[in-house]
Amino acid sequence: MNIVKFLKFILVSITANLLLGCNSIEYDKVVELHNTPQIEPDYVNVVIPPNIAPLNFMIKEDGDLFILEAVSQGNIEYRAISKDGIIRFPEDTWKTLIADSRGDKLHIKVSSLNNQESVLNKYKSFVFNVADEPIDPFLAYRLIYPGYFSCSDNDPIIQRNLESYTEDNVVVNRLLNNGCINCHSFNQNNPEQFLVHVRGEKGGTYFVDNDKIIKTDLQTEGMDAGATYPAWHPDGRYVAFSSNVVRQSFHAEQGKDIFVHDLASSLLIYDIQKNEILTVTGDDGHTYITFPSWSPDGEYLYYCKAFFSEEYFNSSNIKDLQYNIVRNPFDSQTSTLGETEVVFDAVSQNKSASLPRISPDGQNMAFSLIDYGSFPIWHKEADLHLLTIKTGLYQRLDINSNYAESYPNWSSNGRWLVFSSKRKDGRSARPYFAYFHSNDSIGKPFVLPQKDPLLYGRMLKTFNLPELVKGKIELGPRDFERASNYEPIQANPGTGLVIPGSYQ
Amino acid sequence: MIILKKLHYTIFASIFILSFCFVVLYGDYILFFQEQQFLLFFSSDYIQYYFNKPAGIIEFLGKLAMQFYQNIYLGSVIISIVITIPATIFYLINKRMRFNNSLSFIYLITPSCLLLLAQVHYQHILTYHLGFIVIISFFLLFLYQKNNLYRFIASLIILPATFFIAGGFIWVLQLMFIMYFIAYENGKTRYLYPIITTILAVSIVYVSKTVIFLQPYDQLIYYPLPIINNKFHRILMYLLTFVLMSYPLVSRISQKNILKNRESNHLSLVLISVAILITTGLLSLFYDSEVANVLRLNKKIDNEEWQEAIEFQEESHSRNMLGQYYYNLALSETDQLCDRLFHGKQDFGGHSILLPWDNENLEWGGYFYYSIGLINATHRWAYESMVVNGYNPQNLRFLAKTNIINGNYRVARKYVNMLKNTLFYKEIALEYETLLDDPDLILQHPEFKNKLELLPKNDFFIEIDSPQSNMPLLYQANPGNRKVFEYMNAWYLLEKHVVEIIDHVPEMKLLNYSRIPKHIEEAILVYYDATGDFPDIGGLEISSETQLRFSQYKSLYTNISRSSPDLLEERMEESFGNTFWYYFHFN
Repeated sequence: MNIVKFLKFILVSITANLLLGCNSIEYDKVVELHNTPQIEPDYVNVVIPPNIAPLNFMIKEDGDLFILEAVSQGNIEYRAISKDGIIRFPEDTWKTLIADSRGDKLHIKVSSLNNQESVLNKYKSFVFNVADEPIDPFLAYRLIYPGYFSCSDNDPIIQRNLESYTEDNVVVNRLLNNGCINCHSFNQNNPEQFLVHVRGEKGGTYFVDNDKIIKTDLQTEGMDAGATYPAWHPDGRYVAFSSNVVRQSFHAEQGKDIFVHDLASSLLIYDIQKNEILTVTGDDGHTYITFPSWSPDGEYLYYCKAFFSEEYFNSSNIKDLQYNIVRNPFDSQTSTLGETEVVFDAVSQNKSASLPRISPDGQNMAFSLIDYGSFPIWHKEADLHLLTIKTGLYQRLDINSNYAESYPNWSSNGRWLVFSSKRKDGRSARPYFAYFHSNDSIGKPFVLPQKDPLLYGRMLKTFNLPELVKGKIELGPRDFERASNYEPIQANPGTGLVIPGSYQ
Repeated sequence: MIILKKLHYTIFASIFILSFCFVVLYGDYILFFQEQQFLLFFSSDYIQYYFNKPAGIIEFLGKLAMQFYQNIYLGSVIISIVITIPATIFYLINKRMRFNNSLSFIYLITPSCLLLLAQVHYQHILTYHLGFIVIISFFLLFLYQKNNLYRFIASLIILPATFFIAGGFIWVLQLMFIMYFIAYENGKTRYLYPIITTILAVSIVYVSKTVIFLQPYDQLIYYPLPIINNKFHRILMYLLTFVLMSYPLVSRISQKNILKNRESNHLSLVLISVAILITTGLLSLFYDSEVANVLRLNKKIDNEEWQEAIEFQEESHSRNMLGQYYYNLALSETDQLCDRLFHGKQDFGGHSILLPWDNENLEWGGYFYYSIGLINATHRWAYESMVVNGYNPQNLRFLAKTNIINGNYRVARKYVNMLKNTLFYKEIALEYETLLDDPDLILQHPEFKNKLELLPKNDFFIEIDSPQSNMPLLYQANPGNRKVFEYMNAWYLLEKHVVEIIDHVPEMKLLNYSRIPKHIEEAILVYYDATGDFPDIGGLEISSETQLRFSQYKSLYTNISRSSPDLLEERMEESFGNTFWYYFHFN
């Protein structure tokens, strides 16, 4: 233990003893329990990055007084007493504790005091496994009501510092005539290169390149819909989009809610340098393409693809709308695509695959698997899977729940996966983080920590599209507001991009 | 005479009594409507939101006070106090300005009377009154400074404070400051002070926009000025602004003895009496009984006073689509839809059965779906209402109920907890909480048990563009759902789709009908009369009373058509206005 740690240890111990002194704990009997305490959020035995904000939680056990002891690997100890069961770690103490437990475990012991029976219940201790590899320090997400048609006047895109609880607005729709903002997408977790779509009067796709924001209109003549779901080519010159005519249908049956689907969809690639839209030709009216994603080396374009023979969707035939994940080689010098190759055949398993995300080392693909359709967040059965690209072997990840798991994204070092999960109430998605040690070893995920551990229990809004970002986004809402006042730059129609072979 | 010596007390009392009497006797619909618009939660993060934006303070206080509108007497007292306060402040202002002739009394009474008249509009919320009170109070504070230089300095502090507390009301106050300096200052400063304060007011908004608040300009400039899309209300607000800004000028002129009147008290009494009389007259002129009745009906629906709602509409005969929609809803809830549909006015065909999907109808459209048991559609309407209009008692109750019915207990608990944090909805929240703690009780809950039986047994996509299609779809998905069967037939009746009614009559026995509802009998007789074919009525019978009435209808129709065709509609309505036959012929 170095001197700084030692001094902190002394300080923490003195504080804890003072606290204990103020709340004298007297009991006649100690009961050693064999179960870990119920805590909210469930952080028991999770794997956390060494740079995460304190994992405050609430002890959901009976008791008049709760005692927490956290012991780091180097024996730095922190003790806290709580009457209401809420445990809030002081940020400095927390940093010391996890720094001292990096690559190892932070042990958590919880006891509850029952005054009436004069009993101290000691729960089985649990740990926070502290990984060696840090997570990207920022998380960008849109905070919205998980609802139907309308945006509220307060649906911002927010960046949250994962090392603390600080949140900053990045784009605020109130300043953009209340237009909905969506589909924020970063190039390789880069805070200096990203885009967002804005709908309504100030509509357009806003491209951010360092400190510049360029508002563009990507819908060229002859396109049924605008550019919708984006994916940055790693060299930053191209962005692939699916162009979707999106519809929401509403189930009548109890237990079902919304079915989001496309009336039509196709693929296009936007060449930022030339301001040109390269539409992928060959649409036969029955093929549906959505959620493109690049391999980290930019050599392959992955996307979801379905064939649906019927003219209209109804609640019976929607189950036939199932997507495979395919890919095409891409030559960035000539802007051409090679032949289509099926990467994951979900249809043959009577399933539908969506949201492919390739790990930074190019070895693995995380995706969401559902019964039908392409929009997993509204499918209770949606689960995250991992496919080893080289072998084609895949597995359902152990990080799933009985509710929707969707929108996986990798950290820049490939060690952390962030994803959306509705496991807490079935309606609002929360960002969860899972440590990716290897294909066979993925840590127990934990929800984004909040200063108030009870926040999720009352919060109605959803964390939409959580994206890990390597640094702070320096541009803010007023920059986007200024950019919104300019006329959008109209993209030019480029040459059609032909996929060799059958479009299907 | 005491009344003259203490004239200002007479004025305060007059305003208070007039306001109180108006709200208690006629303004119940205003209290109901406004109480239903907002819900205030007593949680720190919710309250904090109001203190992080301009005018958030008066918005919060306004909403807080409006929670008490649940009680008509409390609500009336609150409104009356708030309307009387400007008069009391003007009394202090007059004292400070030594402005005490007849005109000064007019200033005591006019702002309050204008605010009372504005209050007749159901959308004129308490926040607007508070905005005016804030600026008049700050003007008084400004006048308490000992000279014009100090007043000028005070204005530099008061303006930012006004902006933070009352937002867009800063412009009205600034107009008062401008007029004050022009009236009371001399030399260069007469114009310099107004220019500086105007620059300051503009700068406050500019700095707020560029540095402090993430709000658009129009929000920062106008919110929460009372901008309501109503001609009379607009005139009143312009007039009030004019009265306020003219005050410094008029008081100045008055101080120069131009209008001095020895018998000012008597004249004042006359002027005040005239003002009160005019206000009373205008109150009755501005009062919109149609709107008031629709909102009263809405209140009965909200309180589930179905029979009272039916009787009220049959007496008041609202020609408003919402009014007729509520009437039909009350009929459905009391299983009288196809028996009594035409006892009330039906001027909108099928539109008074279900409302089209748009933002204006968000608050009400869900009732119909709740009545027929299409719970997912009710949830969607309530959720959309919450997103677009914010939390209110109605959408939160619907969200709690629909999630309980759908078995989403964890989500339901969030809404229940929110209701628990309110002043007047704790009781219902506790009732729902009991159900969530023991979900088996849901099956015994009269309302939820009934709704669970109405749910679709299989899935379909809810139609948005042609919502009437949802009725046959739901009926198909749950053929035992008698509510939707009745509503579907009511829609056919209103749209005069007689053949569709006939097609469904044989199914009535399966739905445990022991007799055919009266209007459906009438439709069957219309069909028989037109085609000569008596349809299959599934083993039920047409009552002899209906058959007799139909003969009488036909014979009266024939007689009057011959004798006095111009009076045909009127005479038929007198005798048969409550039948499908009359609706079929004349609507």
